[in-house]
Amino acid sequence: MPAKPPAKRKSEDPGRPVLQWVMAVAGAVVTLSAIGIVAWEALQPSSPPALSARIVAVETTAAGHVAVVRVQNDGDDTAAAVQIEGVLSDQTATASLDYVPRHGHAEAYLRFDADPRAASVSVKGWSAP
Amino acid sequence: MTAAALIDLRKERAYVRDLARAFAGALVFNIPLLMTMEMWEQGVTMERWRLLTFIVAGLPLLYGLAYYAGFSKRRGFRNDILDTAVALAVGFVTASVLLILFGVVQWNAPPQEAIGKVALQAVPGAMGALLARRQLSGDGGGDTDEDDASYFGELFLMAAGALFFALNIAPTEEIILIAYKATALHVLALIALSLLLLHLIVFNAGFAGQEEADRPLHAFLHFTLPGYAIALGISLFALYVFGRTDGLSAQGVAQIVIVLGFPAAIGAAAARLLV
Repeated sequence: MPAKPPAKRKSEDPGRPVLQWVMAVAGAVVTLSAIGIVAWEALQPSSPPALSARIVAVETTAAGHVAVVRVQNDGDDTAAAVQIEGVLSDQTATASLDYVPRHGHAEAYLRFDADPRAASVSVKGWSAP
Repeated sequence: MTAAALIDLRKERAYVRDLARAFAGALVFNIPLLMTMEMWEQGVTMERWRLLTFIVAGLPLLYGLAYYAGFSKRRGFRNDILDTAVALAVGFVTASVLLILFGVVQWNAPPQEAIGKVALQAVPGAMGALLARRQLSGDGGGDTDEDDASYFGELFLMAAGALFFALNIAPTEEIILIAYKATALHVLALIALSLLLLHLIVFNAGFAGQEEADRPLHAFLHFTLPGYAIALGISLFALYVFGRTDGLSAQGVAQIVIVLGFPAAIGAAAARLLV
C-alpha cells in the first residue's frame, strides 16, 4: 500500500456548491420536523383504541351489494386484526382489517345480497399490534 | 444572470454527480427494507418513543459514517455535518417516492401514518447514501478517513455494519420464529459460529492491521470479542426498537439477541469489507 501523506484532510474550500446547501437545509428541516412530530405524538396521553364503524358508501356489483365500511379509531393506540361485522335482516357479513392506526381510519368491505343501506355494522374485537 | 457570480456551474454539476451516487447508495441499501411488510407495519404501530429513539440514535451514527465514508470528496467537520443532513434528505426522498410508488403510503392516509413509515426508512436510506462513495465510486474511495481509523473508529465501523445487518432482519417475523425453534444447544452453537466467522473475516480482511496478523490471540481479544459484544448490543437495540423483546423472559431475550447477533456479527466483520 502506498504511504499516505500525513495531512490528509483538505483545507475547507469556502466555495461550496449551492446545491449542497440546499439539500443540507432540506434534510435538516425534514429530519427535525419528523423528530418534532414523532416527539409530539410520543408526548400525547395514551388511551386504548376507540373504534367505530359506519357505512360510507354502497356499490352495486354483479356479485351483490358491497358496503364500504369506514372504521374510525379515536383512541391513542393502534388496533390490529380488527373484526368487522355487518348484519342485514338474516344475513351476516364479516371482514377483518390488519390495522386501524391511532387517530386514523381504515376501510373494509362487506358483501350483502340486498341493498345494505339499512345494515348495522359493528366492530367485534381486535388485538394489540 | 446575477447569480452567475455565486453559482459555479462546474462545481454544481460535480455535486449533482455526488448526489446521484448518494441516491444510488440509498437505493442499494434501502430497497430490501422498503419492500419488507413488517417495516410498513412498524411505521404505523411502533411506539412513538421507540421510533424517536431510533431516529435520534441514528443521527450520531450517520455523522460517524459521514466522517469515515461519505459520498462527497470534501472533508472537514462542517462538510461532514452537511453531508449528514444531505444524506437524510436523500433518505427521506428515496423512502417517500418508493413507498408512494409501492402504494404503501397513500394520499388519503392519516399524516402520522405516512410520517412514521417514511421516517423509519429514512435512517437506513441515509446510511446507504453515506456508504455510497465506497460502494459505487471506482477510485477506491480516495481520501476517506477510514484507512487510518483509530481503534475506536474500527469499533464504530463494526457497530455500523452490525446495525445495517440487524436492521434488515430485526423487524421480520422470522427472527421470532427462529428464536422459538432454537434450543439451548442451537444457541450455544450459534455463539461459537458467530465468533469463529467474525474472527476469520476480521483476520483475513485485514481489519486488525499487520501487527495483529502475527498474533491471532491478540486480534481475538482486541477485535473479535469486542466486535461480538458490539454485535449483541446492536441486536438488543434493534430488537427493542422493533418491540421484539416485549413480553419475553430474560432467557428469551438472551436467546433472540444471540440469534440476531449472528447476522449482526457478520455485518460487523463485513463493515471492513464494505466501508
